[in-house]
Amino acid sequence: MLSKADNDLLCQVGPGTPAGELLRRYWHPVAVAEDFSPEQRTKRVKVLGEELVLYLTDENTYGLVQEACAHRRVSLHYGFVEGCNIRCAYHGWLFDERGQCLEQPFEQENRRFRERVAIRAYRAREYRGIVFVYLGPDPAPVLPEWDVLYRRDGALKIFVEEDLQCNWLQPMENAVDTVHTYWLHGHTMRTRGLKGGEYYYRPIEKYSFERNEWGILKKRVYRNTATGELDPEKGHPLIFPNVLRLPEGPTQAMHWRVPADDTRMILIRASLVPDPPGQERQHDEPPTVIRVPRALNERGDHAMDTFPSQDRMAWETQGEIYDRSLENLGAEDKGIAMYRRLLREQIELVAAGQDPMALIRDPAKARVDFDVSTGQGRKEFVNQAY
Amino acid sequence: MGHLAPAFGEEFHLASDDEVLAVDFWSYLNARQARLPLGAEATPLWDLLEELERELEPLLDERTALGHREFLAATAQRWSAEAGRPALRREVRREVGAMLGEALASSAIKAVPGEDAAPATQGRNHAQQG
Repeated sequence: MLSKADNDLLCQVGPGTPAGELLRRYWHPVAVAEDFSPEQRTKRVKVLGEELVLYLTDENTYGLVQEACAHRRVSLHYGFVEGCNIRCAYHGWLFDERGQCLEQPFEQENRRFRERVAIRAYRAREYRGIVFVYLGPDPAPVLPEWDVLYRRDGALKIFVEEDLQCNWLQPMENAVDTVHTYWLHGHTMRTRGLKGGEYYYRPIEKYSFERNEWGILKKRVYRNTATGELDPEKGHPLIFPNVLRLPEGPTQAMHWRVPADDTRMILIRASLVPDPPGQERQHDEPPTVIRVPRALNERGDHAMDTFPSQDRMAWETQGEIYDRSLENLGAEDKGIAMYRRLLREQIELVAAGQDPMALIRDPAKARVDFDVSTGQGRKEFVNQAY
Repeated sequence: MGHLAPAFGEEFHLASDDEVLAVDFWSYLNARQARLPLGAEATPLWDLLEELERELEPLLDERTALGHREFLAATAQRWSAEAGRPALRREVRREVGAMLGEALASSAIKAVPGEDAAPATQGRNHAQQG
C-alpha cells in the first residue's frame, strides 16, 4: 500500500517531477525507422508528458523538437525538413536540431530577436530499426546495444503495440510479479483450449528477487510434476528502470515500457529468433516490424487469447493510474515492493545530482549481454504464445 | 521488540505439516517485507528480513540433509539466541526466532489425527490445481 503522495512520486513523469527526472536519464524507444520515408518525414511523439515531433533529416539522422512552433504554436508535424532543420508550415520559421530559430522569413533581420527564440530539442538515434530518444541533461549516456538488438544470429522482429491506456508503472510492476503467469497466462490459455501457456501452468515452489547492476533478477523454481524434481530457472531481469528482458519460447526478447504521459504508455518489443543449429547465417536484413492493435472480442472486451492481450487486460483494468492506497500486498508481491523501493532510491540519487543505476558512460561497454532462463525454450514447452 | 507489528499470531495461519510450515513462514517474512513503508527508514528492516529469508532457503531449495523440523528448530534457536550487533539486527532476529519457535511448538500441538492441515502458500496450492 502506498500513500497518495508516494503513488504520485512514482507515477508522475512530466518535466520537473521526480520520476520524470529519473526517467529522463535513459534512452527510450518511441518509434521505428519504418515510420519514416521520403514522403513522410515527421512523426508526432508524446513521451514523458512532452508533445514532440520526431523528423528524419536529409542526412538520415533524426531530429526531435517540441511540436508547437515558437511563433504561434502551430504543429511542426506539418513542417518541411530542410537538411537537418525543420521549417514551420505556417510562416516558415526555421529551427535547427538544437531548437534554435535560424530564420523568420517575414521579419526584418533582427538577430537578437531571432536568437532569443528557441524550442525544446532533444537527441534521437536509430539503432536496429528502432528510434531511441533522450530527454535528459548533457552529457547523454551511451545508447545501449542490447544483445537482442546487436546479435545477428537470428531474425529480428520489432512489435509496436497500440498505446496502452495506463500509467507506465503498472506494466513495470507486472515485470516483477513472478506468479501472475500461472493464472493470467497458464490458466487462461488452458481454459480457452489454447497452446502456449504450458510452461507457466506448473506448480511454483518458490520465487526470488535479486538486485544486480542492471536492476532486479527474478527467478522461479517450478516443480516438475512428472518427476517430482525441482526445476529452477536461471532467471531473467527487469532492466532498470523500464525494460523487461525475457525468453519467449525459443526467442530472446526485450519489452520497453515508455511513458507517453501519466496515463498512456508506448510498448515496443524486440524478439530475436536464433537460427536452428545447422542453419545459422548472418542476419543483416532490417528487422521486420509488426504492428499489434488492441485485441478486443465482439463484445468489446479484451480478447484474452494471447499473452499481450492478457497483460493488457491486467494493466489497463487497474485504472489509468492505479490507486495503490487500496491494494493489499502479500508475499507474492515482494518483487513489486523491491522495485518500488529501488525506484525511490534512484529518484533520490538523481535529485542529489548523481547518476542513477544502469547507465552506460563508457562507449566500450555499449554492448550488454544477458544470460537468461531457457526454460520456455526447452523442447517440451516450445509454443509461441507471443 | 515489536518491529514486525501487527502481532504474528494474528497473521500467521499455522500448518500441521513441517514442510508447509517452512514455506509459510518464509512467505510470511516476504509478506512483511512487501508491506514495509516505501521510505528509506524501512530499509534496514527490509535488509534484515532478506537475510532471514536467505537462511531459510537451503531448506526450501532442498540443499540441506536436515529434516524440516530439525532445520527449523535449529534456525529458531539460533535466531532467538542472537547476541550480536547492531541492536536492530539483534532485536529482529530474536523476534523472528521467537515467532518461528512459537510456530513450531503450536504446529506440533496441532498435528493430531483428524486435524485438517492449514492451507499452504505458493506451490502447494498450485500443485492441487495444476
